Amino acid sequence: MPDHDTKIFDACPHCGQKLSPWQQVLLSVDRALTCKNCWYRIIIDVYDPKDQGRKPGGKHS
Amino acid sequence: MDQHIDSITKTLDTLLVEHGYGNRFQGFQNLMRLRIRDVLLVSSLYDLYLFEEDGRLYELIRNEYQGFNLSHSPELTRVSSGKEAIALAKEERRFDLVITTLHIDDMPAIQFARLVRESGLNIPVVLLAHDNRELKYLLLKGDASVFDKVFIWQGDFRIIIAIIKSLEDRINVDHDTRMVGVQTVLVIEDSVRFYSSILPIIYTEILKQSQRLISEGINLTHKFLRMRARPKILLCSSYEEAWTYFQEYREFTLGIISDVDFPRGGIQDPRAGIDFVRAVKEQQSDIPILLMSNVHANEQDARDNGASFVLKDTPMMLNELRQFMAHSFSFGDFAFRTREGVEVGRATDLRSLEEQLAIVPEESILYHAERNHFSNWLKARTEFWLAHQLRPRKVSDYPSTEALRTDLIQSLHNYRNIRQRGIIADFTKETFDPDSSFARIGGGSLGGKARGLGFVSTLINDYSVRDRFENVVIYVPPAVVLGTDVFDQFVDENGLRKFGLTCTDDREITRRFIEATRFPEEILGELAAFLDLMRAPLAVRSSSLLEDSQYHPFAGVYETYMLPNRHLNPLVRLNDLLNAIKKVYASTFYQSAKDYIKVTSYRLEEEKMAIIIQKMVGAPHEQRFYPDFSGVARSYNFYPHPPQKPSDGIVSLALGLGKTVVDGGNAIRFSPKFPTDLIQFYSVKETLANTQRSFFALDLEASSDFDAGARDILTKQYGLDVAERDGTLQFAGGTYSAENDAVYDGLSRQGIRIVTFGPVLRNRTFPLPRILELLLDMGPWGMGTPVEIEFAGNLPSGERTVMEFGMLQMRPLVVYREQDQLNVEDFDKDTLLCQSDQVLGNGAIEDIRDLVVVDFHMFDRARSREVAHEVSTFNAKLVGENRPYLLIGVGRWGSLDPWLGIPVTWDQIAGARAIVETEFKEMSVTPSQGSHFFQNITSFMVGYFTVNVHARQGYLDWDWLLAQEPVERFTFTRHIRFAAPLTIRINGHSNKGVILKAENVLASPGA
Repeated sequence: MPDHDTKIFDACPHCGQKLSPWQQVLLSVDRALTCKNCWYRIIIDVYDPKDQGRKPGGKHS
Repeated sequence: MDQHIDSITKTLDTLLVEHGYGNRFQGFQNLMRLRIRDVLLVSSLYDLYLFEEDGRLYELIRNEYQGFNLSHSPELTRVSSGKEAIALAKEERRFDLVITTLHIDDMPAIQFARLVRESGLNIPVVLLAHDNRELKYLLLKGDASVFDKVFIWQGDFRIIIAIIKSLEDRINVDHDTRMVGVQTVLVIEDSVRFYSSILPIIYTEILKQSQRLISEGINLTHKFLRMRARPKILLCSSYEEAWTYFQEYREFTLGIISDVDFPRGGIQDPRAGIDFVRAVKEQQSDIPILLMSNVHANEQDARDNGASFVLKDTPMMLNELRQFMAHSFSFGDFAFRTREGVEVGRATDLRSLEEQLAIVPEESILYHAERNHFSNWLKARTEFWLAHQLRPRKVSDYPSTEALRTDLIQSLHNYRNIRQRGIIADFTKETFDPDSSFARIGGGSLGGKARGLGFVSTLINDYSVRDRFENVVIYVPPAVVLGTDVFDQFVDENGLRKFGLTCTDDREITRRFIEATRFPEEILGELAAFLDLMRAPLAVRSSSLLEDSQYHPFAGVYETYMLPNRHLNPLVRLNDLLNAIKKVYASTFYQSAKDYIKVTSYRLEEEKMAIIIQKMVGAPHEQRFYPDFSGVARSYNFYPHPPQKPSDGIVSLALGLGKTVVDGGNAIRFSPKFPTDLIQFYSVKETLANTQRSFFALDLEASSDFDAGARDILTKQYGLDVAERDGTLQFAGGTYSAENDAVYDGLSRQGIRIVTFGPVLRNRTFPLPRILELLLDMGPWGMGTPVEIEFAGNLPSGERTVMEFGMLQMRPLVVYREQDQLNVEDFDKDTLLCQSDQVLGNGAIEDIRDLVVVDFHMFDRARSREVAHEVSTFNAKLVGENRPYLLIGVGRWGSLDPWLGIPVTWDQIAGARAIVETEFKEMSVTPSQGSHFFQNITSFMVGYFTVNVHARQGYLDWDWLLAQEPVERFTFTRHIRFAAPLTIRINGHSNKGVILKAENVLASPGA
């Protein structure tokens, strides 16, 4: 089901390479994806909507 | 602890608990990671004799494991001395556990255990004493703490299983509780004799109950996996040990079975159990606890503190223990009760739970919801995700009990639907959902097509693709698959195998198969049950072992039949289905299949047929049934138009059944990334020439006489005027206005109707291009190769408010690997027979001496079938002589429509190594990438040249060709043979190719 609560990147936050629609799906479900352009590992935090001050972001592993 | 709960909560809040990369139950696969696989038993031969009773210990244990669907039983190795044990353990380094008796040859057991510790082996050592008195002496005199645990043998080999399981539980509990929320049972008992007797019983009960409960709509593989999620037993012998475990796993505690009198603070405490109960209840009041004691007086105390009680050493003790577990651990039926204890309903599984929830009184729902009974009952069935979903439902969260009831029912219902998707479960009438399930009947392989579909279904489910687009549902139509064992049984029991392999008459083969009377009875029963649930039109499709291999997709080789499935008499429907199945079975042995297999490395004897019986995608329109759109999408485009790249893919789209596309008819071709780039419509003339002017539909009222000759007689062709009447041309249609000599989207004007899908592609009324773009990305990711997808769907109209997109098939696509880039530029025109910039293939072909040529001047579109027959005759001759040839002809090879080209089937030209298609006098050719024919070209790596001389797209020296004296000639075709081979060179990267004339003169006749 469409993931409404977590922002999903449409491009790699490291190199800017556009993510294909399927890569965006993988990222939204697996919460992690390796960019095939620069090999940066994009990781999505679990986002709690009640947690006002915290925003989802990519972490470098 | 709260953080720990939070992280579990977050994990459980997603479906990651039960999902993985295209593999459901990934979470369960991670359970019980650490296993006791190899056990070293140190005992005298006599002790072993006592353990084994009438059978070998290993076999007894193995049977027990198999009986409980436990995946593998441990290996047992026996030695008789301590020295030998240590030497073996050090040398082989494979043992996970040592079990020793008191009677070993060369040293006391305690010394042995110490030596094991000192040797650095790091293996747990368990003492299995044979005699209680001996053990008492040991415990008094020696230090038994050197053993990891002590047990007493009491005549039941199951103690060994209990020892192994108890150790495995202890080492896995931490991980497994965190992973999926596996439950724990605390057993507190310090008496070696007593826990040695009840532990095997507890394990047997837990395993038996777990096995029984793990049954709903899942197959054996998943049962094995779910058994890993059975409750873990934690054996403790002191208050402190028990309390530590309780604190650690409070959230997961299913229940507690405890002695009353056991050590606390190092000394025996006759009230330790009572105090423990009190302390537990203060923190978690709903945990079921059973106290066991020899002291009768403890019973009142136990009950006053909310625990059950059993008197030890009574004849009924073990039975009462079993009953407690069955009742309190939620292994039994869910009994709906009122607060007063009156039973008002009963559920045995998820489905009946959902049904009962709809009808039991409100007060009962309240009673159970407040006590988390639903959650506990679900956990006993390893339904952790659902249990977690239901657990936080406090009544106060809802405006009314009715709202709570509705929410519970909805959660259960959704969960059951979700869980069914993406699994190929064994078919049962009770669990098959005619709107979504994909199930198997019979054993054996599912075959290539079904495997592909099962895989797609899993991907769609695991990655939530189904609802990813608003107002769109993406799905695999529900189906059952008959496994290949059914084919084997049918063919062998009717004596058809040898006959099928040797007979060359397709009609005779069909007749014999249809007339064969023996069909596996249990399969018949399941098919009847399936038809009882499924009343929609059905497609009966082949799914053979060899089909959809990465190298030879066998596209279009076997038959597909469509059935209206509407007759009022269920026996007639069953009979129709059976006949369709038999005809698909028969097609395994048709001449076309035999010819096809001949040019592969397979043997026909290796081929086995599974059958997919699938709900057709479409909607009824009077007596016609068909989808609003269908097509084939490929993730690799062999003829990309700049700025398109090959990896952008290409789609062929048609109105009505997909037969239009797969048989090479006119269809809309576009790249999903560039949906408005429609090259075939660059001029009005081209548009009218290349557009779809009719469509296929299933005739729901046609009689399904299965005669021996007919292929699929129920699929008929209709004009676009019919589609307009049906309302299906609304989003697909355009109009050619002769007055303005222009083509317009839509049907508002008067004029000739054509198919353009303008609103879908140009105006983006529906996200079809985006859906295809996503799936053409998903497919190669999942399969590891480029893919081809067959699809069909319905657009919103009338009562249907969502777009339905059905995935009918996904198979690997053969794409040439780029090798050396051949230079095709620098050739003298005199040496050129043919040159093209639209060529499939790669590399050089330098062994062709034979040509089969359709005479450009003689060709008559009205007689293209005769041409096909002539070509087929030459093909048979040359295949028989093992001579590959170059085929040159006009129009589209393999065209469904005899007016567009030469309607050969693949087997009729299977001997061609390279093919040239050129234009008609009136019309240019465009390569039809969606057809089965095209797929076979790519999979057999046949060089394929497309030439449109008049449009200055390529070159073919007809004059030189037709001046050559043929070896043999028919009305429209000729066979030419050269002494020296032609040279064919293709650059797969640039799609350019040349065919050079043979250097020498013609071969003499008979060469």
